[in-house]
Amino acid sequence: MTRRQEDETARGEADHLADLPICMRRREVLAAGAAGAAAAVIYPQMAAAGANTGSELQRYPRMKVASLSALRDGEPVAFNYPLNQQPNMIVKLGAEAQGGVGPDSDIVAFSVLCTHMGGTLRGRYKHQFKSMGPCPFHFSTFDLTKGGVPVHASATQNLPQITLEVDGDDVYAVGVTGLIYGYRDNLADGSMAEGATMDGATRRG
Amino acid sequence: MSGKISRRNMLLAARSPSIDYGVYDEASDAVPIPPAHAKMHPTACDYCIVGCGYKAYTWPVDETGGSKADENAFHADFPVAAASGQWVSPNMHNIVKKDGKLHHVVVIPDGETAVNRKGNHSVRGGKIGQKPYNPKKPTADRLQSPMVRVNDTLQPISWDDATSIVAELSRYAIDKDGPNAFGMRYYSYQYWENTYAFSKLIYNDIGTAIGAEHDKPTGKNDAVGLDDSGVDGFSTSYADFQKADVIFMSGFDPYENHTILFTEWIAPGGAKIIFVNPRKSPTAVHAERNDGLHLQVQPNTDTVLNNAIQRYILEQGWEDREWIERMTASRDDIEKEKKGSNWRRRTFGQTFEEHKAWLLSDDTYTLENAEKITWVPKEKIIRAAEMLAKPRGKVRPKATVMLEKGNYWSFNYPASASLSSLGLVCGAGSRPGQNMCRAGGHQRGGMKLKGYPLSKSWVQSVHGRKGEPAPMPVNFDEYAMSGKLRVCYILGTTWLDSMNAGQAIRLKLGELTRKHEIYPDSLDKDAIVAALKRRMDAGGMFLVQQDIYPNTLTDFADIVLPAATWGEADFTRAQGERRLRIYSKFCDAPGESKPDWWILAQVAKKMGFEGWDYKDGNDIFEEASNKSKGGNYDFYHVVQEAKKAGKKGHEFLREMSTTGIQLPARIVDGKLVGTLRLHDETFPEAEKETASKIVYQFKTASGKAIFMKGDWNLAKDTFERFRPKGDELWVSNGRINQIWQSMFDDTRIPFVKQRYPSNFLMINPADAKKRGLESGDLVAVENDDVIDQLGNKTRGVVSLVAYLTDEVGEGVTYTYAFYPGQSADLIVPAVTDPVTGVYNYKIGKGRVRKIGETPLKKVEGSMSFIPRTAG
Repeated sequence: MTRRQEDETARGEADHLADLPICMRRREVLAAGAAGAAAAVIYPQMAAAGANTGSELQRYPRMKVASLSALRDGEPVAFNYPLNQQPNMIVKLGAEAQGGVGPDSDIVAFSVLCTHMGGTLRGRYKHQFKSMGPCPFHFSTFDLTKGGVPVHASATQNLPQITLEVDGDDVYAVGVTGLIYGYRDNLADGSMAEGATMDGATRRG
Repeated sequence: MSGKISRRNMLLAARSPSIDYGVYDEASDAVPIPPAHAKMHPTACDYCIVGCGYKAYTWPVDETGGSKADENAFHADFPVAAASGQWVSPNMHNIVKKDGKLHHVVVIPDGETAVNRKGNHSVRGGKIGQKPYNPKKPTADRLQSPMVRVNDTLQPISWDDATSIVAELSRYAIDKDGPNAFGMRYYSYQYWENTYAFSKLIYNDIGTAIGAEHDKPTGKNDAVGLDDSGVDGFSTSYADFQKADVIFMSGFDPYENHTILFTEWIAPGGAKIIFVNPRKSPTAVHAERNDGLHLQVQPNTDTVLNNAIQRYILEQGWEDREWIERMTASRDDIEKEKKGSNWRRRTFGQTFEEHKAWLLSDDTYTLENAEKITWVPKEKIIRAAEMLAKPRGKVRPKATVMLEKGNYWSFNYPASASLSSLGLVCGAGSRPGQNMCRAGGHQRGGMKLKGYPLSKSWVQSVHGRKGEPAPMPVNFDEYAMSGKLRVCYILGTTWLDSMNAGQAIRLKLGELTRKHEIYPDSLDKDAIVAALKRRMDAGGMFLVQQDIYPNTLTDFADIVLPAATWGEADFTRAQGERRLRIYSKFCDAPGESKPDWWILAQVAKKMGFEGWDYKDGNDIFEEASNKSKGGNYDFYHVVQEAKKAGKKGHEFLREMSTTGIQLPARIVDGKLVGTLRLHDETFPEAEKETASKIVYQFKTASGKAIFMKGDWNLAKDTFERFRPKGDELWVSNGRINQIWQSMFDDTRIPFVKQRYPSNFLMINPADAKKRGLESGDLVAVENDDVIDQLGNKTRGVVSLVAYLTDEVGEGVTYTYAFYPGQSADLIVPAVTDPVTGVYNYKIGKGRVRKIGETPLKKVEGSMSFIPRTAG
């Protein structure tokens, strides 16, 4: 998904605001939206019709998510993995990180669904701090250099980190550490992400 | 003396924890969800005052729920939606024994409760599923059998022997030296069944004056200046905060603790926040971003700030005069207060005119002087006054005034009194949106048959009215350290990690107990009793610990009694808006552990006291309802209605699930109803006959609120004596979001330990630079001026991990208050308030220097050092 597509999706999701608990005062939310950031919107993927196909993967698939040569410091790229309905982002932090890949061990990928109540963290990567958040729901903030540990948060789990592998210039997602918000199992109740393949799939866990 | 005792104390250091550098939270990528037939047990969070509703689902370990709505207990299709309150985080799941068989348990926030709507939760409550005992997890070290120390080792014994030893030695000490030979330190909050039982034993049956709650050196009140004004600390409903225009928050951070009060009630309500705190925490940033104000006060100077804001309001004539005339006390009203027990009201109580005249006459509270003392720029003091009280045309802002321990644990009396009078000046205290209250710490779990017997105390304040008694409670720690206490019973509290001059207490306690030359050398009960009688006769002490986990005190205890806790028996209590709920049993208590009330009942019966034949906790709950009549937690009618319905009180309450009922409970038109708020001038006239006076009047002799004089002169000299000088820094302390209290559970939850594997010292980058510090360095914090409870000058030392952040300004550092082994109180002198006897826990300072580096500096280290205000 391109950044433009990401923003369009975000705008389409604004209707979901009304029913959800948001700590920010409403005008702050609107101001954030007006500033062009997709920050304050709610990602509605779980409610999408047909999300639950009843299928269940046995292993984590392998999926190319970025090219080393195309990643720029501090510019996240979105992708869904391991299921089509599970949104993540990959980013080159410009600083060494736990689980980081690439020549500088600074490329990481994380779920963008807050592990508190599922608020979207898309657009909330802060390059200055290598952090995600605060979540628009209840302010949870995560440190991406330290495995997604909550810095100041209501979340009860680290932000799920996508396990990455590098092959030449290609960066592959090959697994997930932690449970993605909304799911009882990262590999159940959805369809495998487009572009993912079971060739070279890894064991769970 | 120091050399000899230090050597002894080194022998006791076994339980001092090393820093948990290697901790990680093993992540799961799947979690069992409860099947449709899982058993649901209504409960509430064990931790902070807000008391969010939770449901514990249990089901046999070989089953799991499915992802279709008809296949799980939530009736939800998985994956579930954002903010559904139906997602099970892996830290909400555990395996427990129930009725002797393995069960899954999921403890999930209840979206249907009145407190944390839609399943909102804090990080602390959200992972309370990790609390129950599990032998494969760090909770494996739960205390599970009674033990006695023989030949310097703790050995398991039977309940019968253990309770006999405690009872016989207590009876011996009381008969020989009187009731004050027996003293107990106890939690104030851990369920009514338990607190009722021990108040019955110690204050009713034994009649000692040596008692103290978990967070004080005494058995008396907390926010005393607020209480004295006639305002109950928990007089409001959470919905009231949404009706306020402005909320003055003195000395607490509602995201660190009370998270749901903030994220569910205050923040969405949109009130502007005046945030008074030495730290520019994320909440301070939130306040400023939303038209509020952060008053970054110098530690311990809240009294001056509160009074300066009042003085400016009075100079401008912005006080709520109509309300003040109607609702506050005259001189005649104040004189109605009882001599002795209400001496503080007689001494410090003022009419509005007296209060105004006093404030305007004391130059301490001019803008200029207040800025010098508090470090808060005068423009901000003016702005705070405008926000709180400046009328817009004919309309006054609706101001709510709140406080907590940053306020009343600085200088207890003047800080809390000045805060309550600030509230009264603004017309706060009796109306929705115009309330005055505590933010709270623990839940309201104290239901006492009898409170602390002030009449038995021999301690007098020097600040009383001439010729009238001015009783203060006895300082438990001082009494124990002076060697007068024979039986020291510590119930459910980490005494040694939470009191000022904590190292001095340890050193003295070691001499009186474990390192005493007389000790039992046999497992024969009578021989143990005989040996410990000889120790007591020789001036030593018999130390009982009753708790759920071993802690620092276990290294000193003669007897250790294992207690059952949350989830392991049915318990009840109220939360911060007086909401009474049941905390249901959903798993077996580990080993031989028993509820605290049961243990006390065995001891009491063996001591020869009557009225202890309780079959279960419900018996105590029902008995206590009689005592509650007319008070702020009156639940008499709950039990009466249960009886009418032919049910036990506990079962009747369980049917009210996680919402429960707000007390006082009343009968209106034949129906059981709750009460939204106390001191409520909007309370319906027609219902007044169903309620006690505190529901619609203030809690004073006249029913009118009293301006309490919060005088900086009570604090000034002590402040000057103990403030940092030279290269010393303030070492302030308090809570941090992820951690609850003394970490009794959190230290056994890797998810928490990975964030804070060590206690930290937040230090401003400028102060750090002067000392060559980086985040992740190990620092020594040393205070040479830790006056102990006996008046000796001692040295307090603690090592911490540096965390460089702008959250603290130059000259001020901050650390977690109750980190086990690295407690902030180790370097705080035992300064007590001269009016109330409460410690000043915030008057820590020290010299800070680097003593090493930790692996946490490296990328592999689990602790994050990015600013908590990132973003």
